[in-house]
Amino acid sequence: MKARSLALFLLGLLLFASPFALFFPEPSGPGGLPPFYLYLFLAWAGFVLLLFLNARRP
Amino acid sequence: MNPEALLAGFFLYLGLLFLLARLGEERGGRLFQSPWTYTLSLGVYATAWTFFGSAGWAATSGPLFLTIYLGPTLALALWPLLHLRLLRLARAHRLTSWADFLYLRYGRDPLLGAVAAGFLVLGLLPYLALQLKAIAQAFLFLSGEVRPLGDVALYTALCLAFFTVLFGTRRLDPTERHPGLVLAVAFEGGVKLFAMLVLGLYALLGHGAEPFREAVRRGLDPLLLPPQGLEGHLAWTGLTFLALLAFLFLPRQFHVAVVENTDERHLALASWAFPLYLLLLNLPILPLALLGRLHHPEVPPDLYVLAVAREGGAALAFLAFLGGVSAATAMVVVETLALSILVSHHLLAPLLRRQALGRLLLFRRGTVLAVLLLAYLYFRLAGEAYALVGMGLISFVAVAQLAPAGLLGLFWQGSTREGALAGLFGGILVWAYTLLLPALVRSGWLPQDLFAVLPSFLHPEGLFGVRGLDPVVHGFLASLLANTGLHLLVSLRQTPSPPPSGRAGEEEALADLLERFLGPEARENLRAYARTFKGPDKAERLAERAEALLAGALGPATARLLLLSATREVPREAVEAAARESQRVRAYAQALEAARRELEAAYRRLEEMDRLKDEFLATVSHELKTPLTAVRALAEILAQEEVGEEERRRFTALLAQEAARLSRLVEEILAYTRLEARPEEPPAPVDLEALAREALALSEPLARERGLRLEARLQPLRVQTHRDRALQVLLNLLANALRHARSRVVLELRAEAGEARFRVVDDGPGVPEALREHIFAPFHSYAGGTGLGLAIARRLAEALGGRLFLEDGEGGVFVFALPLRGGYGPSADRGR
Repeated sequence: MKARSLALFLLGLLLFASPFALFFPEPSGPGGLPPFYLYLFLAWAGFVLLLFLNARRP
Repeated sequence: MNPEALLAGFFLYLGLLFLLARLGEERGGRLFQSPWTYTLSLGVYATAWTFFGSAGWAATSGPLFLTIYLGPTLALALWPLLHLRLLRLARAHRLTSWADFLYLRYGRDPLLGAVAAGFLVLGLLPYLALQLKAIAQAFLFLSGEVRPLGDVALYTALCLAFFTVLFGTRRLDPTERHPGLVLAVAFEGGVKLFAMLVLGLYALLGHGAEPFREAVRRGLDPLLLPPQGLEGHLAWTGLTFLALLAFLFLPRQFHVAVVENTDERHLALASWAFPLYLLLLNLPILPLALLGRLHHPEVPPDLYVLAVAREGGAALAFLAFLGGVSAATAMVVVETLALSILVSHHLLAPLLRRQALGRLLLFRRGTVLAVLLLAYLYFRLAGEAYALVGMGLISFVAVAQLAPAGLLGLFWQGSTREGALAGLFGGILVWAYTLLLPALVRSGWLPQDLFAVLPSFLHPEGLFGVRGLDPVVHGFLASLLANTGLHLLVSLRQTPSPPPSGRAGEEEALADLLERFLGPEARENLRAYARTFKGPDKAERLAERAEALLAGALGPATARLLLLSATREVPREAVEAAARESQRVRAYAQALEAARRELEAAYRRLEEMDRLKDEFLATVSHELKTPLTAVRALAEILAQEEVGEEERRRFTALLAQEAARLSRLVEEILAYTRLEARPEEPPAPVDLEALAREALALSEPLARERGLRLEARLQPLRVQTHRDRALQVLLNLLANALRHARSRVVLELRAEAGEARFRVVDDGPGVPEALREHIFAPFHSYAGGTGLGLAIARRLAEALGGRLFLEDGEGGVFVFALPLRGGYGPSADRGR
């Protein structure tokens, strides 16, 4: 449980604290939405899913 | 909107919350204990800053506003490591805040607790001022009135203080739990989310993706792009980390997450549901921010949410207002409540003492009012020059100053009190210099040219010539660096590091407890155990050990109670009375057990004697049967006619011989049983020399018959004894010697080693080594005797308090020893 949580935390750092300017140079993407925000909210939702699975497993 | 209607709505909403809180306090048990209530109450993290400020920040600086919610998301990923541990620690020590923890961890140092508490009050003033400003701003904007912002903020402060007093300090609860308050806060969490989602839906349905395209067209690209360059990246990661720490160390967060937690399993739900809550709360922010910026450029950014909501009609605007009010009131109520507990524990406690305990509630209420008035003062001093977020971030950095002492104290054994103090003071100083000072300069309370006077490497927003960094990120990194650096430096310089003092305090309490009930050895035992044991769960292990030691002496239930009393406030007298009672019961039980064991032993002895008796009877019957069989056989032979005269004479002699042996046997058995039923006659002085001569005279016929010589070497001696029995011993010994001797038997009498010793020596073959063990047992004869003589002699000798034993030497040497003085006494009983 503890090891999994630490791994999740490190994954979170990677997902949410990378130098994003290198990956998202365009302000507009699919459907006119900004790709950076799109990425952040999707990554966030995925992370919440992982947290959910982590909490369910003893 | 009509200001009266707005005010009426505002007070109606507060009244609803109040009713909900009452309900929660009276019948909210199940609701209060639901993990969903717990999760929603964590939503107190989202304040007016989130509701109004985020959109303003997004509309001016782009995506940075999200870092404030990504930080807590990351923090919750660590919940089994951090929160669970904190929760158990808080439960064990009844912690109500981080200041309590620091106080306990660093050797119960009141200074540390007071510094932490005082600084938290000071550091959180901007954050509270932000809420006042948000509500006042929103009210003025929606009502359309033109009045000084400060006036409205003052009424807001007074109104919120009144509300908090009603809510949080209605009564004193030793657990500091407020089920009603938590229910109301959770409800407000729901209202916030609902209002924000409705606003988001309105923006989505009304405008779709259009605001994004429009923003690009108008050249607002930077708002949609990730933070640029190294400064941008540093700001992003720095703020994420700052939010993570703030989420852990904000007093109100500690209060709802730890103090008000009823079940640690609630954390499992919160660990994913709360990040989801934050995610949903943030989805509408960017569209609202862009809409505000595009449609209402004349309005201050912090009011974009309200401006956009007003487009959708009065109802939507009121909903937005309620969402903001919910966010602000929940924050203010819980934060000031947590601060008032903090202040009464660490700043007022030395003044209060016990006699003033009844006035504690009054002090709490006073603290709430004072804190809110101070927040108002801060708002007047510095509030107008800053946006909502800017004010909140200053508080975040202040709160983060507790992090090094808290986290290092939690996970690092070597962290010391001096280190914590040095770090805290250093961090506070840098915080005040880099963030508070510029805030005062910006709002005009300090001369504007102050920065220009200072040398460039001391610029408060760019220490050591740093340029281009966001001032908050700069202040955060600088203060945290100073704080952690000083903490580590001072802690490491103190070698050897003293034992973790907070736990040592508890160790002391446990040791005292053990000494009081089990004596100083138990204290030493615990101390020795504590020295050998190192590890993060040392405190728990020590408690387990102490409990085990106590349970051994007092029973587990009492041990549990006592242990609780050592760390918590259970009436000590009651516990000790219970312990003494149980100790007495235990003593009775021990006495009973001893008596039972004695009885059992006696019963075993009786059983053994019974068995011996049976054995004896069986042997006796067997011994009697052998001569009887011979007698019967001889009598039958003699009864036949054809037996010759010569034959008959031989058989008759044999018959007489067997009969004599029989009668001798019976006599000896009688003597043996007489011994068993010993008549109680008092011992008398006996002349042993005369006794010996009598024995010799009585044995003389037997000696003559066998052609043996009897010799005597006697000293004149007198002892207290039973004459007849001593004589019997001598006769038996002499008869035995005469049976084995070749030519002579010697009887000696001498005083040796405090005993009168008869020595009967014969010149026979002696007793073979293998038989020495057995010759005194009944019916063990190896020279044709009855096998009872020596057994009887030994029993008699022992009954007289003397001894009978075999000595090494040529032939057989038997010694019969009688004590010269006081021998006939207790020792006589030993032979029984």
